[in-house]
Amino acid sequence: MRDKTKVKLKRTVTGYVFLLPVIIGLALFTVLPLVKSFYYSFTEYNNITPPINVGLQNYKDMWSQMFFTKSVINTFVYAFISVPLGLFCSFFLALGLNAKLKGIKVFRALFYLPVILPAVASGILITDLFSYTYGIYNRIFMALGLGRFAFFTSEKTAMLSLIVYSLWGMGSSMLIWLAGFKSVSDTYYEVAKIEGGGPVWTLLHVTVPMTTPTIFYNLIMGIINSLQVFTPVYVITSGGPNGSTSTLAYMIYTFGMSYRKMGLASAMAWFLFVIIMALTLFVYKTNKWVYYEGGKD
Amino acid sequence: MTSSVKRRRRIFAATVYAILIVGAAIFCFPIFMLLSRSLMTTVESTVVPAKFFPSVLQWHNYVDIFKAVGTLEGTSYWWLWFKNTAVLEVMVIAGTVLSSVWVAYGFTRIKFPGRNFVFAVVMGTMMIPSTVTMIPLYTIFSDLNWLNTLHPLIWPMWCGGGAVNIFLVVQFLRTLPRELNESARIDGANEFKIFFRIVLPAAVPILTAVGVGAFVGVWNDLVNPLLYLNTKDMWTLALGVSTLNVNVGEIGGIPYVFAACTIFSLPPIVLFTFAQKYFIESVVMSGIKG
Repeated sequence: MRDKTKVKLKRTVTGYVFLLPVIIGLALFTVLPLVKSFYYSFTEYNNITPPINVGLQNYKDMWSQMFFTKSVINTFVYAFISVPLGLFCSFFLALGLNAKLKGIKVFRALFYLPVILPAVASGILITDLFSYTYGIYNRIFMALGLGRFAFFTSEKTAMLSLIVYSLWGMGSSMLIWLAGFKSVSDTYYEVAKIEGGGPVWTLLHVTVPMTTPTIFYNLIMGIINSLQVFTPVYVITSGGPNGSTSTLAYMIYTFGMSYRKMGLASAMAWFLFVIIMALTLFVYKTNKWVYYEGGKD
Repeated sequence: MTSSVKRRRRIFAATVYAILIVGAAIFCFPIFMLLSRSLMTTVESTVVPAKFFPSVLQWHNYVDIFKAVGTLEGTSYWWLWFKNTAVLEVMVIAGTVLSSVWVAYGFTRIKFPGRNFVFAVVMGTMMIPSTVTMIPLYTIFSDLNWLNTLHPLIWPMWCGGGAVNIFLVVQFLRTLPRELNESARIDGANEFKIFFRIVLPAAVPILTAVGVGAFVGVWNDLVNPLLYLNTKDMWTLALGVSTLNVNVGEIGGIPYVFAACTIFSLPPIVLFTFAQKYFIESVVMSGIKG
């Protein structure tokens, strides 16, 4: 009996030795920053002088900051259009790339190539190719008689350009679809064939329903990630022109890091956090197959 | 009958090929332009309307760019940026790979109270936007005197390498037969021996995927270097390249910037060619990045 508790204790200690790195990491790089960030959001703070308590002022003031409301709208527009649109387009791309044809792997690699290109390089490249004067795309559009566009440098087209640019990276969602198609057991397709289902019928009644859970999860995770879009905004447009591509993450960076208004920026960050938490809760409420499920064995 | 089926098949294949070729051409056109414009003269790159091809391939752009960013006490900034990136790569890959499997071992192979709770909390952190922790992390690293050093980019990755990687390795370890542990325990091996002798070697496939993901993550990361690395000598390649566009004039024109972008893009592309399987695994498992 005593031996048993001793073994148990030893096992628990060993267990925590293995979990130690992640526990330290959680405490230092997640919990502590969360608490600090929440506290900062009620203060005026610049990382030099001590924080001054201002209550809810930041949560009020942020709405009157230039481009803030615009940024909130932009963030939503970007995330809720680019992610579903990307998943939708890449579905058809993946269907084509799922065909059992010679050389299909080469095509998969070609469509995936833009994803591998580092965001910094691809941002610089795209800025140049879509330039009003020197851009190759304007040469093509002019030749087609479509006229010349300012793309990223016009308030009217900048956000649209950013969304189209995000589609260039749809290779990653294509891979997710392909993996989803593969996970559908062949028996379903055989049954569909025996039942006399054509390719379109099989697609709608077998492939789509069978892959929906994975895709729905990816849709929500994709939106959550896109709500934090920063790098393309920073590299390509710097939030401009006139705030037309400014996003929440870009605002938080600008206010927190450039202007050193860390309290105000923290309030903005918590605003974003609440939105993301609401979305996440929505996922858990509607689905029981999310990651936690695997935690019990 | 069979010939009509065959014909229909051939038409189907031809249609798919045609669509894919057009699509791939559209998708790869910008990359073609990256190469093309990197080989132009500066004057050519500013011609209106823009040119598709350089008239003479200016290969020397790829040499000249190495002299274009200036030096610090005789050492090129390129070399300094490369060195910083290399140090980061080694330290982050090592930290991510080792600590993720170490932690995952605790989550899967040993049963003890509190284990599932910690796992749930770790998975929950996936939902915390990095923008929320950005500012306090900055102040914490500032208090530690870690600003303008590589420490803020390295040590957090030694704490399990992030929820996604922990999850990936945990899922993998669950597929390993439990008997491996049991028989080793009967032979008198303790958990640490089992970890190093049995589980670590068995986890190499998933750890390769995690390592490839970590490599690309560091290589492409702009946000963290931007936050923590202030002086030019401490920058990474990604941060250095991102500034070229701002000083196009100083650099000598777009062709030089594009030559740098091409060289900078090569390592991930080469890695992808050789480790496609692992690369794809890490993408499919971790989902779409924003």
